[in-house]
Amino acid sequence: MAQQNRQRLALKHPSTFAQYRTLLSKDLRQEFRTKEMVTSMGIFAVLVIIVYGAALALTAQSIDIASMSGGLIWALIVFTSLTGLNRSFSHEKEQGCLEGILLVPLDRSVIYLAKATSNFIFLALVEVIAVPLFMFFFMTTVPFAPTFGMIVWPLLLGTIGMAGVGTMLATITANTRSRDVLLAVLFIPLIYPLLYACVTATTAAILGSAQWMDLYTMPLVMAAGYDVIMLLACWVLYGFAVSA
Amino acid sequence: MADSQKKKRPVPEAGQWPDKLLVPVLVAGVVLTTVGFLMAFLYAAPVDGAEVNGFQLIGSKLVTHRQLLSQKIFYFHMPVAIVSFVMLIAAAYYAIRFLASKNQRYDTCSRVAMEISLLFVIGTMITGDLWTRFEWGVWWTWDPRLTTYLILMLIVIAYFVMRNSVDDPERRATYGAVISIIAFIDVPICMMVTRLIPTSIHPVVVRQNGMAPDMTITVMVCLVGMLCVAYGLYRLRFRTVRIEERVEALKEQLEEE
Amino acid sequence: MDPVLQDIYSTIIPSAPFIIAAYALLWAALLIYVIISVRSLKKSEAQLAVLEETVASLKAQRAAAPTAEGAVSAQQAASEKAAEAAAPKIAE
Repeated sequence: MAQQNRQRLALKHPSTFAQYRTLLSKDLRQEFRTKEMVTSMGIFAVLVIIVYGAALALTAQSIDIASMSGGLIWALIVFTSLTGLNRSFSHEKEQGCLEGILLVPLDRSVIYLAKATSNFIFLALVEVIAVPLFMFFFMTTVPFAPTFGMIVWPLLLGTIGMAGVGTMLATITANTRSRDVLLAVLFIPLIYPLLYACVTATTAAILGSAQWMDLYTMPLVMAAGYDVIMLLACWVLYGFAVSA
Repeated sequence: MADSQKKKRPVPEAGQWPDKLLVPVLVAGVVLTTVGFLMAFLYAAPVDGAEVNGFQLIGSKLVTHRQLLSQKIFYFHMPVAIVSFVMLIAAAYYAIRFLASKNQRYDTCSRVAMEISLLFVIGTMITGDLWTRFEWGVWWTWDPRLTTYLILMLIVIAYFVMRNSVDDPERRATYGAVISIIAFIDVPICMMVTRLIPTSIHPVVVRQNGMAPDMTITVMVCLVGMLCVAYGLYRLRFRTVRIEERVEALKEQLEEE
Repeated sequence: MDPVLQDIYSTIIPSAPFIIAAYALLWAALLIYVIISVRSLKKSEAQLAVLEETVASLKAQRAAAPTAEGAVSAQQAASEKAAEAAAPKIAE
């Protein structure tokens, strides 16, 4: 009889996936209600495009915009992700959410995975808006090569890498004095190999010349390798960083 | 602040057995680097540059190319680059031991190793930049090695900027350890990525691969000499930092009383 | 001189300043680092000597003063002396 009562009252320990889903849905629901991060990142992306407009105004007719567009798109994505990453932990710190989450006996890496996934989703949403906007403003005179659709894969792999590394760095810099600048100073050198590979692959896909496959597959493999290695390293080290 | 722990391996401290090796190793380092410097100019054969119209019989060799003296920078440039990466490995090793044991001493070791690494990276950038300036006539090219070392220098500077902006010692040590491990993983990736991705826009002139034996010996001598010098600098700086830490601790103890 | 020989050795003199600059700057960087480190070491060792002296005098004073009041005032005097002695060294 006592055993039956005990079994009825015993709490079920939630599985790791359930914990992950809960944390992720918390972030998504908060964003869905306030829409603050996606709107601010989107407006920032539009502003960067306007700055590009001023920067390229005099030479727009004479330069080969198709070969530069890969680099410009990725610069846009890097700056926008810095803005988003800075804000992703501001809520946790202001309201003291992070201490609350740390009280729960869960594996610290689950927090990392949930945060990285939510950052990835927001960044992907902003990219879906920003990249067609860039093409509308700058690339209407450029004929689309048949391989244009292949820019999806570098964009995807690059966004995964940036969200992963950026979440780890945002956790570290959230507790320091000069938060935003320190995030940028740490983020950009660490993300450089990924950026280089993705820009090469994106430019190859946009130009679509005869030997585009050479310039496309190798950088994509390198970007995938970078993602796997860095995300694994951040996964292992996150427990130390967030408990400090 | 015990000099040894209950575990089998004692915590590193100034004045222990590595310091007794310090003077011989430092002397060996200075001697070896001087010998290497002399060997670079007197022993190793000069490298061929551009072709000339015609040929000359110099000594007993048939010479058909310009003889480059500027390549001699390489005999110090590559050892300095290798040593900076070795110090990065040492910093990451001490960072891992800090995360495993939470002993502040390992954080000190890691920080000093990063300082020495920064010093040697700056040396790499100086020699590499001057070499590029003479060879190609430009101050900077985005070739793999220079780019990787620029990124390494930026990461190490970012490490020190981050250390300055955190006040709590344990948090600072933890963040520093995490950053140095991530940096150690990132730098080889950067080197591989910039090297393996074919750049169709800027053709990179490939140097002759494989070194003649006299070049190899000179580079090895300089490398061992530089390693000894780096080790000596590390122990010196470590002793300085340890004494500073002990002074701070004593001051705090006196203030409490 | 034979023009071909001149051409063979033509890059040596223009490159000499760069080579000298490279080696000299490298040695200068190492030397500056060593000098900074040794100066910091000397300063810290001087501070350490002063602090050890004050700790010794503190202990001697506390052993010599039998009453609690005397001990407290002696402590205060000794810590003031320690702060005074440490301050000029720190200000250096």
